[in-house]
Amino acid sequence: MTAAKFVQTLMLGLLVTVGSTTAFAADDYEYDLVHSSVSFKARHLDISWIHGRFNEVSGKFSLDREQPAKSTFELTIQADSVDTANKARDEHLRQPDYFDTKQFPTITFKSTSVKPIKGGYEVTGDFTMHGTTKSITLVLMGGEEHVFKGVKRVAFSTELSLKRSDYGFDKNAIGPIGDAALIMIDCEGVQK
Amino acid sequence: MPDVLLFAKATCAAAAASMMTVLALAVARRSAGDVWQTTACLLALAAGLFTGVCVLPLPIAVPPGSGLDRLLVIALPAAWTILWFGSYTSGREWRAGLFWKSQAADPTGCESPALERITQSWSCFRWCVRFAFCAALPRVLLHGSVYLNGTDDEWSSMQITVAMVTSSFALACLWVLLDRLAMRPAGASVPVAIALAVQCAAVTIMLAGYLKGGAFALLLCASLLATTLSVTAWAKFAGFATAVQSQVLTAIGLIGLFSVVLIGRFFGRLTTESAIIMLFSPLLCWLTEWRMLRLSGTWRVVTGRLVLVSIPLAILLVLAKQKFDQELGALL
Repeated sequence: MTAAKFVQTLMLGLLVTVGSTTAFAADDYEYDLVHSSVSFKARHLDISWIHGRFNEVSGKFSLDREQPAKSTFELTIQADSVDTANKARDEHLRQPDYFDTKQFPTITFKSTSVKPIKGGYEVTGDFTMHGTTKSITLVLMGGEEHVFKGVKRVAFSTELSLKRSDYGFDKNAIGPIGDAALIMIDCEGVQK
Repeated sequence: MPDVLLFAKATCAAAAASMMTVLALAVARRSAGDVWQTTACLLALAAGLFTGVCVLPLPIAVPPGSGLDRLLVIALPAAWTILWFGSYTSGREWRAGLFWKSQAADPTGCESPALERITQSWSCFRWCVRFAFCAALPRVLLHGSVYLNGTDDEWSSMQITVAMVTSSFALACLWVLLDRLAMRPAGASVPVAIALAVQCAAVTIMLAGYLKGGAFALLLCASLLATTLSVTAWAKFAGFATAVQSQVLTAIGLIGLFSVVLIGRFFGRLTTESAIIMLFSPLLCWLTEWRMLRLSGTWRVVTGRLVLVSIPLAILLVLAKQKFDQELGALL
């Protein structure tokens, strides 16, 4: 083998090794606030729905395609960014009977285990709201990648239902607004 | 939407529990010293609040998570302990115990100057402990909130420090002034005036949108009023002075009022102006001690004080209702 051929083989081998390492590493993504949303709805007098959203959300997730169990998901919602298109109601929701944003400024989710399923992931983690932490399981559908202007993006969607009384909300204040709330999360992540 | 009947039921239950506690203790020991009177007042208030909290029900988290939880689990028990030990060391029984010890050393039968010095020192020490409690109270109530971790948009760290120091100082001054007034004739009117302010705070905070805070204030008002009336009747029946009871009830009522108003301001939507007016309104009782407005007769003094305190509170209630109709009424 000539010297040139030896170097060529070595370079090829190095490239394959590096490429393999890159392919096996997890991809880290940052939550893209512009193309994502966290919204909710709750029953009013059991006849209609009140819709709202949180405008300040941040998060990150790490996707390991080869070992999905090593993927992680984190989300932080600023509770006082609640927006129901009614200023008086938003102020009311920030008070201690509801989100108590001065005492519990954030709503967070942090994954503890991830399982791949058909079409997405089943993510179990700690959900903390109003000072109460409970383990919940989210079914994240999606995970398809798309490269746009040289930047890789991945998106997931999920819905979850939870009872406000399970998280320390005042039962007397629940009244005409239903106890159960449906939360819809559509999250697009931008690769770091 | 609050269940008015449930609130009424809880309030009545709190008042009844306080009265029954005083009655039970009065039957157990008709003629009572300072310590027994203080114990009766504190136990009656505790029984009333506990009963009201159970009937409502008002969920309290342990360990405490919110300002209201910290008030019920930390601040009020600490206040009860300070007041009870304070009454114990100022009581005639304790002085008598010291007197008999000094008698054994000096059997001339006169109270020694040393005893007087000890009593005065203990009085200073008691007030130092109370002032320390006043200094700590805002910090305890705001613990874990955005105000103390520097992430609030409205208040900077310096502003919140100034606010806490100022409010502690205000509480200490109010305590000294109202304690002095409670020792004078018609002193039982002072806790009643504070109960009126607490009642106003309850309704105002509820109208501002914080139901749980207002509900607790309602229970406090009911317990305070019921205990005051019961111990005053007991004292009249048994023939002893009401100064000690008035001072104890004034202290607890003031601490409760201050805490409710502070929690309503920083966690609810109570305005600073409303909070200040409600907190300082009981000071209007001092106007009846002014030479120009002095009234003769205990009942006239009591009535005069309650009328004076009610005026600004009534104005606040009207304004709070107007604001509620404008902002939150449409949501209901």
